[in-house]
Amino acid sequence: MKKFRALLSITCLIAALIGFTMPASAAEPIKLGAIFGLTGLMAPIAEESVQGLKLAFEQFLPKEIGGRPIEVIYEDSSSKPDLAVQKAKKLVERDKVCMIFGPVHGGHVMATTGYLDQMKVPTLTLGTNTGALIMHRKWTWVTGGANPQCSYPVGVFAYENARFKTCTVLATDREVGHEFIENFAAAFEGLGGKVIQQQWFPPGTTQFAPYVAQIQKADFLATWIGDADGIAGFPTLRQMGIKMPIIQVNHAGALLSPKAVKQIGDSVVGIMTAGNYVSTLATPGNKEFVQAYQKKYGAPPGTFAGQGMSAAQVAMAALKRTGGDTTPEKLREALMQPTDTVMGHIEFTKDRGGINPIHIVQIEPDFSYKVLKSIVTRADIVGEGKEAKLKISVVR
Amino acid sequence: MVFKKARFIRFVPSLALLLLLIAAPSIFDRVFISLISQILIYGLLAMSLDLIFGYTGMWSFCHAAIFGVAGYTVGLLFKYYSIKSFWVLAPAGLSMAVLTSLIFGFVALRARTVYFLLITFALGQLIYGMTIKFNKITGGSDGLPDIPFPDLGLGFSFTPTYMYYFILIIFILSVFVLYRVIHSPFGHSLQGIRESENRMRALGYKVWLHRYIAFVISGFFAGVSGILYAHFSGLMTPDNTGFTASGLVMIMIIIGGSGTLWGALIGSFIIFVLEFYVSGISTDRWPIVLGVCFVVAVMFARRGIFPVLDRLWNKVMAQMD
Amino acid sequence: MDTLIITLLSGICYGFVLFLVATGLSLVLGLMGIVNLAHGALFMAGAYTGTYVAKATHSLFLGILVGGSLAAAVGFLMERGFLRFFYKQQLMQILVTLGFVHIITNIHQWIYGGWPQSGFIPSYLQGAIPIGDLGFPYHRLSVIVVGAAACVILWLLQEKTKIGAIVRAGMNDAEITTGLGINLTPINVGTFCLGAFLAGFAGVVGAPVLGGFNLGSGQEMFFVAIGVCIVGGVGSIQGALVGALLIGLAVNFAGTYAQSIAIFVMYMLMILVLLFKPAGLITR
Repeated sequence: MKKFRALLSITCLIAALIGFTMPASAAEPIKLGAIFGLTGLMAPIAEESVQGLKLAFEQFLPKEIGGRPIEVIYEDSSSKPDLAVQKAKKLVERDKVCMIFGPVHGGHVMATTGYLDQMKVPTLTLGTNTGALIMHRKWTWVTGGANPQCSYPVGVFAYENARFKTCTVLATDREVGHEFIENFAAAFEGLGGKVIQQQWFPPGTTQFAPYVAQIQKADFLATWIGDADGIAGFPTLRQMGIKMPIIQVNHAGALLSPKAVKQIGDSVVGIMTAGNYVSTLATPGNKEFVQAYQKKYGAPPGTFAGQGMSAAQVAMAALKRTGGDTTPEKLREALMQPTDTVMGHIEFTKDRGGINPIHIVQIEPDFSYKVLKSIVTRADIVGEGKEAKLKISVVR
Repeated sequence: MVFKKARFIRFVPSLALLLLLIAAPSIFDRVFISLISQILIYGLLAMSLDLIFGYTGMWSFCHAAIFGVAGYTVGLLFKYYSIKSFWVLAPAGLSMAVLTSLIFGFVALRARTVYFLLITFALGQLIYGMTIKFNKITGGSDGLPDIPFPDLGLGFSFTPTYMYYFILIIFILSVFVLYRVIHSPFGHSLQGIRESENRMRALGYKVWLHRYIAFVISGFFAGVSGILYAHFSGLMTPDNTGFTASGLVMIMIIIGGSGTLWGALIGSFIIFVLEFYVSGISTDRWPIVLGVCFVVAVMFARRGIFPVLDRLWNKVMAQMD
Repeated sequence: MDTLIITLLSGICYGFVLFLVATGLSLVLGLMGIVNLAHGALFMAGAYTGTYVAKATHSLFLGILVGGSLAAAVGFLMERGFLRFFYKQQLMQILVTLGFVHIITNIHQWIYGGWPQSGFIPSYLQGAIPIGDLGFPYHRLSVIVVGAAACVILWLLQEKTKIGAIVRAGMNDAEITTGLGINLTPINVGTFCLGAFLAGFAGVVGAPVLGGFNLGSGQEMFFVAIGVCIVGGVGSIQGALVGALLIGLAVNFAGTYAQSIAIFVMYMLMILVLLFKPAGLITR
């Protein structure tokens, strides 16, 4: 008898495991997926992105298309590429989603889109992302444009509008930091400016005093103090009395989030930075979005919230164009069309890189943003095979 | 006859597990197969660490770094020299892993117990630092993406299911070797060193050499799992080599039960299944559940989970007779 | 020259913050043999809540009191509720304390959100002494003073009081000390809570020196504190001080004179010390 009981319990265990993996019942709704690092290093950025997406689907976008209800499934990648890929597999093969709102961090994006490319699942990244997505992927739409597109206009602005001639650089020694700074420098030096010094500090640095002490005199300081941990740089810069103007070539999330800027405090006032979205834009529908966001979460939307909303708008516009048809090729065609979003008018190049304005803004003493200049750029692949690289050009 | 039956029943769980693993692709969907693949790869890594961690009492904290060296070797050779053949990549990765463990073992074996843990931690962080520092080559924290499935040169290309069986076969072979090492005279003398180093030295054993060889064997199998991981996931990132990964592997062993070999696999299973399913229930509060699970596991299974299961199975067997 | 002075001062200042964090870890490791992975999480708990209180009340003192006490209270709960069952079982301690790292970190994400926060600097410590074209902030000087004062007090506590003598005896041989009729339990609990308090204290005072803090700061500080214990040696105030200052200076000098190897400096220092003096520079 006891023998049977033992066998029974093993059978139960196996049955439980199978139960875990039972596919969901054949779905009527149109399912969309979202993978973000809601815990771990990328948590703050992911939290804001998801808030933007949730608000968009709750209050602004149609609840159904062609009689089929819209359902969004959110998953956490814990800021780990491994888990992100597992979650992508789960969303595609178990939940059968037709589109995915992608993770933010470079490593994650390359890992998940590698798989999503094989499965032909259209993926929309929020905001800017690594240029490798345009170069090496076929099913990823970079709604905010590639990283180089975001920092290139800053170089143009610094030379042509701010009339700076020399520049010193302080940036995080990460791949994405190099991507930003190189393209900024290419634009700035291409027009006639000069980068006189570059300092790179390792990720996770808290001791900025030695770097600050060595900053050479120039017209302005270009920084990319990135990742959630690197914000330590700005308070040290201010406390040690750096007077020259500071331009953070890309917002790195925190600088364009009103909530974060308030917490970091006075040391970021006066800093200029660039991004796809700020809450003060006069784009169609933005006012209502900002109001609703403020009401729900108690602060104006940050750049990632706005990008979440925009990505949701792009996705829904595409679904509307196909009339609810979710075959990959149809979606692909529909996604290529331009869409009006809170971020502005988004078009795509044939390589799925977004063409939309980059806003260079200054942080005011009351922590609001003043838009100084908006520049639209596009990124195109030039060259073939191993020689291929991205060429950035200003559209207007 | 009775003896044989008892002996057979003793191996029922292992056989059942083996059959389940072989039949898995026809029972489970591809998502779960991919999860099992990862569990097997990290299980092999944890089991290889258990050889020095549980059986020899050397608390190494650089195991993921050796794993990472093998994986990065594969990835870099593929990326810069377009080498696709598994028969070139695997030996290259393995020899780099062995070389690293030869060097690390030589440096770290000057220290004992907690100090061994700390020095291996620092050594592991050097590798981690290198993967970030040389970002022009390694891709920095973005990692090294798009490493393909292995190319065995046999005229067929891998699907995820083939990859799963490939991992399973290498896993079984490696575990078989590890099992034989542990149950060999060499393995017994390692356990003797764990219990009392001085006694073993008095008995004429070369303690240092035993430790060193164990460290290198362990590093070899860490290399095996590193190569499998690079091919399976297609991505190597610094996080695969740093303290988070090393700590994760150690946690697997502690949860499963150190010095039990199978405990490491159980630990790997528990960690990944918890991570995958609990994070699906509450996307942003699940680390609290994970933390509580750790604490509860320690309070109720003080020597790990495998000893508890083992005792349970012994009880079942006793009652069957 | 100006660069040298700033680097030196900045290194000493960072060193004293590290000293405050690492002392607790070092004493607990030396006296009770506990590897407390959650020590960094206690630092973070102090930093978040202490800074929040300080910003709300504009009182640094109140912030320190609340931050330190919170860390001490959490430490007390961990020690009495869980760790006391696992003396001498280091593997189990690792698992329990790691569990606490997950729990504490996620609770902070829940309450305060994930964005980085800046530290609190009271109005009377704003400003900087001019050094060349730049300046060295007053509050960093005050951190050096506070750290040095704490160091002297702790040293006196260790060397000149009866409690200090018991702690030292307990580190040398716990069994004999207990055999002499001394109850080590309150000493253990007290040391654990003091260490936790110092970590919380360092969280409030040191946050501006680290340029602020976020959910990853606890873990980062824990690893640096481990480095301090290795370099300086476990179980004494002097050891923690030497280790902390050496690492503080090494990190800052690498930032000035060896930026290309800055990421490796602390680990290379650790390996060198472990190779030539495995028990640390200062042995008991």
